[in-house]
Amino acid sequence: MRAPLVVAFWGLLNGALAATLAGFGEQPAVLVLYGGAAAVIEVIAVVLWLSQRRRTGPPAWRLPGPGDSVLLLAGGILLAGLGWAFHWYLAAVAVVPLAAAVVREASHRRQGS
Amino acid sequence: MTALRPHPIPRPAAARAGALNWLVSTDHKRIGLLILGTALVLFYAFGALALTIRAQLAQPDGQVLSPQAYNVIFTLHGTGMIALVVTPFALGLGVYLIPLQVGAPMIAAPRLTLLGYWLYAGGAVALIAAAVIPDGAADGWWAYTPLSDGSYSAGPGMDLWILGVFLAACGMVLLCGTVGWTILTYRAPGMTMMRIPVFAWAMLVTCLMGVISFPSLLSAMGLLGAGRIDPGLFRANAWNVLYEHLFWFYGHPVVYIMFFPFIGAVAEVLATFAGRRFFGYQGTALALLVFAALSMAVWGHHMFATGQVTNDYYSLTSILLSIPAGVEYFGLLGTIAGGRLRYTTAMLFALAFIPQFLIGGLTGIMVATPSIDYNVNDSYFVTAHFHYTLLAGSVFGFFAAVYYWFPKATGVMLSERLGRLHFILMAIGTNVTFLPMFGLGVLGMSRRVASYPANAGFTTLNLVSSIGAFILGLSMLAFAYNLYSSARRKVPAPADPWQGQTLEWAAASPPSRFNFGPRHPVPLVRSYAPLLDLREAAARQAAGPAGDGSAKEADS
Repeated sequence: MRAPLVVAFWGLLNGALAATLAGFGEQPAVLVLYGGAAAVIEVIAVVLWLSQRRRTGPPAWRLPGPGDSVLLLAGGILLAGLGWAFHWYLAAVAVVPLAAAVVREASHRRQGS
Repeated sequence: MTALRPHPIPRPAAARAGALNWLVSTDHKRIGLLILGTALVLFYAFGALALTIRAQLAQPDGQVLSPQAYNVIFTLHGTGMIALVVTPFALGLGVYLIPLQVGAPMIAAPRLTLLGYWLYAGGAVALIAAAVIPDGAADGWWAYTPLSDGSYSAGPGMDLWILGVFLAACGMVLLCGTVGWTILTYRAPGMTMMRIPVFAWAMLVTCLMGVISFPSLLSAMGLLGAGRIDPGLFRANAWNVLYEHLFWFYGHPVVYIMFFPFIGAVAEVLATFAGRRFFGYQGTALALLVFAALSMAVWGHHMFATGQVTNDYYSLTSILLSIPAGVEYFGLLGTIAGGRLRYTTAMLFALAFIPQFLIGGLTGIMVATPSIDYNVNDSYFVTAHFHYTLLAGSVFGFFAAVYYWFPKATGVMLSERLGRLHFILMAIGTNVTFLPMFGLGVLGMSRRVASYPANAGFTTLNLVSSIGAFILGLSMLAFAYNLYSSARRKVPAPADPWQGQTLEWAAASPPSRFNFGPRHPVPLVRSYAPLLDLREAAARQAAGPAGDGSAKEADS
């Protein structure tokens, strides 16, 4: 069984269950929720299929860049969230790690190229 | 899918030591261990909260905690165990093991995986802060509206709770995405979909469920956030019902996200220590897919008591779950039936998982039947049911996985003697704690009550349950001591100490930066148990006229 087929099959199972739910007369919002989720799975199956079709040779493994900008990004997101919970000035402070993450990322990309 | 062709892997670089290098590493093994380590520390912390809860309920009219503190503690215990402990246990195992099991040198999108960990860690900080500040979050792990809106839960505690859950969910959806993509696209040559290990199948369906259920939780948190800005929102009941739908569309599948990987882990452990190939592989793979699809269709059984869902459908789909679950159990039992069992600690945990998880599953079918649910809804019966699923089931599966893969991950063996002590105490503690809760539920004790009167008839069962909880606490001390003493003794682990069947056992212990290399190449994959294939081929050749020299050849 091919990988995109596995994903598509699983999405179809969910679609069939959502259709059955409609037969039981469930509210439209619920059907949208479940049907939408099944549709997202089918989109993933299509993306997977396209990704494999485009692959012409063996994948070239690339060393991932360092993760320090990731840590800064996550810190910035947390601070921005704390700004929502406490005060907006924390969200302003979040600009610092977010900007640092962008600078680090740009620097790594320059060194990599 | 056609498997990947041979590929050059990046030049191995020596892993840099130091704490900061661990924190920013893009090596899936380090990220996996970070996730598992963080979740384990939190497991101890939130387990200590459970002991406080049981101390409060050990006697009638308990005075250990004030009602408000009790509410805060059970909220953090529930939310924390689900969002910060058992789900990360499940996905952390996937991050660590999946690239090794499919023969890949790395995980797909390593930096997204690292971001997933750090968002989860940020979520943990926010959730703990939500509990420790004055007026901490105290609305339970589901935070039903309108109780959790700005009118009834003022102050930043609930805001922090929303932030914590949101960040942790973002982290988990990223982990699901990268682990799932690795299984689908990074497999070694020869490893077709029908040759991936059972654990990888379990992780794949877990990830599929994760990528569509976690966004629903994010939407629910968005709605809750809007309700805190405008408390009038939840005066219209449609929004309250919508919130419940969004929450449970995540809330039920997450239970499966929290145990599927452990079913996979238990399957691997049983096969290895029974010395047999996993029984009914294809049926189990199909059952996992059907089980996962059905599990997306049962969330409404959490809402029977609202009167706002079509009970027949959700009850039907919930009961149908017993069919694929039965197929999986058939596979597990068929694997050990007639095998030459080796009773290692990992095997003991795996064997205990089978009946205990069955109790959780069967009582789940019971509460998914509306007529029973109306009677036991919000009672201790439900508490007992989900603790049998998540602790007696998932956490036992987790410890089976820990004792099985610890030597691979660290290069050090855990003490079997201490492991057995851990197992015995945990098995006794778990059942003494949670079996009485079924009785309490039937007697009518409500969940989430901070105390009960002496004449309610709950005293004896609560005392027994609390004694069991402290035995459970002792078992965790035994495990902690096992980790400590094993780290000190450092008994070295060979690459394959258990005669494993899947590819990770072909790598060194611990594996190198890119998992496999010239000294530990990816073996030929012809089935879902490639190492067992090699051993069987070697044994056949050794028994044949060619003599023992051919066995060595097959091994190479």
